[in-house]
Amino acid sequence: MADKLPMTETMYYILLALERPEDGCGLSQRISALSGGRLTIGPGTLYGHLTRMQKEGLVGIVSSLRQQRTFVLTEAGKLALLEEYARLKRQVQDGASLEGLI
Amino acid sequence: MTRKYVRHPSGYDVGGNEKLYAHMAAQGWLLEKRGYFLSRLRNAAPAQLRYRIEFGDRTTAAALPTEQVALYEACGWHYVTGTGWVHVFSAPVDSDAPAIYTDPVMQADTLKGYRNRSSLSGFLVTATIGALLIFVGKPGSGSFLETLKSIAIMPWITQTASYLLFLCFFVWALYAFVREKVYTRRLYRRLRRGSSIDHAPKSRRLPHKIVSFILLACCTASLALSITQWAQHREYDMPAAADGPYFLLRDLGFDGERTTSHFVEKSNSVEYKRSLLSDQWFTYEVILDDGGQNRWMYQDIYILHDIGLVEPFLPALLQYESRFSLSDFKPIAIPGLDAAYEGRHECIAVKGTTIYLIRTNTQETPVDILEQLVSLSE
Repeated sequence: MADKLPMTETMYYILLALERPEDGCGLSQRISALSGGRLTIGPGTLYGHLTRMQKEGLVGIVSSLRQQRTFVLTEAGKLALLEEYARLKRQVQDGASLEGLI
Repeated sequence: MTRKYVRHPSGYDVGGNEKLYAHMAAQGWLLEKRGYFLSRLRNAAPAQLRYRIEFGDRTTAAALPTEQVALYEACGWHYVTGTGWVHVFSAPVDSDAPAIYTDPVMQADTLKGYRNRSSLSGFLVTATIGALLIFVGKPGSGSFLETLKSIAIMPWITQTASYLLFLCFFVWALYAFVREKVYTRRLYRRLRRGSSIDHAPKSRRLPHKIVSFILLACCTASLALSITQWAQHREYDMPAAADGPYFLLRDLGFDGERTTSHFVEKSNSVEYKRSLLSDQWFTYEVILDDGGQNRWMYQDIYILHDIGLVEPFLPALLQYESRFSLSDFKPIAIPGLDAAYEGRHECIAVKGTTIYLIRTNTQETPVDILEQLVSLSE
């Protein structure tokens, strides 16, 4: 994935929240909880990202009840999430000298 | 009154639509159904509601995917109505429903289908152009400019009010089309830059309202004139004696009993039309002469309301008529006529503000017919 652009924050948190399967609105609430309330994703934004991620094979659907779909990470999605996590971790490590300044 | 209709802004005026519906809800009128031009509201208890516009998905022919609607509703937004590419959701102001779009760039993507669609106004512009061309028929045999001129002038003089109505409607549709394209593009660029939509914009649409009002007034006036013009149209069996500026076969010296044509499903008739700029007579007469031959004559007579109209109208008529006869009209000099032309089977005469187009199988030469016309019209 070295040639791919870094993931956006929204995409990262969506994949992170899908560590366990979740439906659309529950996903939005989990993202908000994971980010400590810092990140709120509206249903429209969420739907757009989920649709794109499905096409890219990062996210799959595990069940569809009354048009409400439950999403789950695919293997490709897990790999992408881990790679992004590693990238972000390297970035933080690279800035270790800033630690005493915060 | 339990229901009423309001004129809503066009789809690209997202904030304007949302503000309108929220304002009406606060006054006790809830959106029930949105059409292409009007929204139907039902009377209910006043409510503090947020309304949000969502554009349809181009992969589902403008409809919203059911899973998208289900997701929005699970998050507290209620699907109210939708027509074409524009769909409306609502949620109480004090509810926990999150903003539908927290990312303007993502919302910009939803405009792509709406931007690229064949807009209704674009269709109307195209349909109006097509109707104008069908209205007059195929171009004649002259140059493109001459053809264009005849297409413009003929209906202008013979069906002035209807032509005005088409023009007003065309201008209105063109204005709406251009405005829609400009403002949709502007909204898309704004969202792509990361600026969110203003859900309660200040009303800055006065110039647009003035222009729309003027165009609507012009269309309404033209429609009223068209109805008046149409109401004066008459078609009836040709009387024994001419009741208009046309003349009969017996005036040319052909006597016989009136009959019906074998080739054309038509009997002897007179048609009268009136426009703002002209009176028109169209006659058809067919007789069985003493020799057992069918003699027929068509006359198209245009009485223009102003002498200044003759100069532009005559070439347009010659151009228009050349499509049927494929003959070139040659000018001929007839004393008593201001101008005269002969074609293969027809002739045209101009006397003052009256223009005659005569087609007949009487085998009289155009010169003979026109000389008799002069003596009959004196």
